[in-house]
Amino acid sequence: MKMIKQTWHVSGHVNLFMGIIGLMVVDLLLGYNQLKFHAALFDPINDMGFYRWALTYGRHYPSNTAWLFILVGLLGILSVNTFVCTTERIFVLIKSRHAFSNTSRFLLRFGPHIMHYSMLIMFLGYLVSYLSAGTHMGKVLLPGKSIALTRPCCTITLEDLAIDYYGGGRMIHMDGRAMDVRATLKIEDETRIKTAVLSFNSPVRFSPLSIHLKKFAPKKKGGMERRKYITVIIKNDPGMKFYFSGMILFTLGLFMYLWDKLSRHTRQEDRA
Amino acid sequence: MKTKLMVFMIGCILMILGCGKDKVDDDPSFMSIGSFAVNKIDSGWTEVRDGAGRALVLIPRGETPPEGYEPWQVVEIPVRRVAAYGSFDISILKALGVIEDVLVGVTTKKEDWTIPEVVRGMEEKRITYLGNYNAIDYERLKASEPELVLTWDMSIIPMLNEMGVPCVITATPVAMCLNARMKFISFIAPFFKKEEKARAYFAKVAASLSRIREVTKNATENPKVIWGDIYEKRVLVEPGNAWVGELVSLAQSDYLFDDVIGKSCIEISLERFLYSGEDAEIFFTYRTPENGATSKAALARANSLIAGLKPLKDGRVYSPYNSYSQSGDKLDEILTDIAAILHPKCYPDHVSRYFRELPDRDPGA
Repeated sequence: MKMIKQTWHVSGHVNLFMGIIGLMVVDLLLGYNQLKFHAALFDPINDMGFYRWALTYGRHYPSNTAWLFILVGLLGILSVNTFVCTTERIFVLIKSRHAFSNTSRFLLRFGPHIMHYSMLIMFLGYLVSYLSAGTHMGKVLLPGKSIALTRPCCTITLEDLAIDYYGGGRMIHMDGRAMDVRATLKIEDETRIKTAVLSFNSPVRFSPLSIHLKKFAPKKKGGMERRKYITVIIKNDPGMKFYFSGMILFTLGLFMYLWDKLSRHTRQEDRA
Repeated sequence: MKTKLMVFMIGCILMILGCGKDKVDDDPSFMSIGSFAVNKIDSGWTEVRDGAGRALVLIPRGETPPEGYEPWQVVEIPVRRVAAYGSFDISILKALGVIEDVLVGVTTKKEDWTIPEVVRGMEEKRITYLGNYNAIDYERLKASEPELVLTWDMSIIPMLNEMGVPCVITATPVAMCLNARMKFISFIAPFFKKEEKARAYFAKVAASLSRIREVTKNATENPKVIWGDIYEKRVLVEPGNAWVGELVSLAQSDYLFDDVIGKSCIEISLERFLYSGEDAEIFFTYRTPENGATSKAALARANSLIAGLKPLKDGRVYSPYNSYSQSGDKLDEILTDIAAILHPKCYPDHVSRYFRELPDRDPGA
């Protein structure tokens, strides 16, 4: 029992946190170089998932990828450290609940701890994403044509592709270049039909899928005549729920923290 | 203190790990080649990742396709009939020794080919001209019955899926580095079961690269080089991460676009091009003599903006022959050719076969 307590205490200690942060800085500096000069080794993580990537790229290029495995390990330790530290403080806070004059002040003190827990939920989301996400790469859609997915079973049709080209004349090198693209998609499965407009930074969601615009053509008017098409990345990402929940919780915790700070500041001013 | 020591020690281990040599050639069961990858997944099966990040599985002819793959992802090997867009891809088929047996369709007209096997094949009607690369004739493609299409054009994927013909995207979102250019053959080889030929080709090119390092290591000059061109509304260059940029740096020269990172033939601003052009001593243009690169004066006439570039005034300008883009099978010779251009004193008797130094003026002008 004593050993468990000691392990619990050490794993939540602030010195451990500082050590991990220091190591992460060194690791990320090395990782920066690897990412800069060997980006092709890391791109596939997005569609293969971390497990398959680790068995192929990770295993066969250890000198380039070791930093990432170490980073994952460090993040794991950091998560445990954050969980233990936050939980300890929550226990302390609960024990001293009688010191608060009202419940709202007591509850607001949970703000920073909610922020820490939300970080852990976000980490968990990324872990789930990289371990179990299913991504379809290089899916090409031509206007009026459909593609069928087998997992999950659905059909995606590009109903219309509208590309806006610059015609202002003030910037000669932008003349005739694409400024915006809007692709109208119809997505259907056995029970649902959805029509939505896809553009950059505006993915289309069709649960459990999200469809992202990767590329389109033609990018300019005139010159080499190109066929109109878009390339999409289709993701089935179960981790998304976690990090969106984490973000919402984090925002809630941040507001609680700020409210608590402001109200304490106001009280101090009133007393003065 | 203990924590500091631990940080330092682990940092050192990471440094050693990070600076180690790539374990690239030791294990042929998995190979990353730039954006491409080859993974031997089972006895006789190979999973490849093409330039668009699509996974294809290569299975011996007649075997039942493995589960988990869609029909367009399955390619029976050895492939017997191929249609190909890119001249580099086709020259790699030549390097693998399969060009005359498998090539059935191309997107360049007969008169523009310098590969004798392709010209002969087109004359003998074994190889079909499929139409211009941006609008191929699908009827001709269907009639040529390819089992595989090698292309850079992603827009044909839906049509090929309808036709039931698998395709491989051989273009990549970032330019191929020198290592990927040399190893690209190892990505194509499993489709034809010609891995041995690929290894021999790589060894040949690697040996030429070693010779270049050796010959140029004591070069006293460090020429400044740019590679690209200005067109009517666009400025296109080879980025620093492209194989030509890496080669120039490797051959004791200074590639002035080495800070530009991205795809091959990347667009940059006119100002950036002119800024480097004022310093450069050697300028490799994309234009061939057929496209107007007959002399420095002709280039300057075609675009007055480049008339002020140093290589056009008192440097050297090189234009590729048609054979340059169709000689991927002789990559070792191309690399040596470029090194000889950069350091003519190191290669006193070298005669360039792939580039032509432009005279100041057109003969008779």
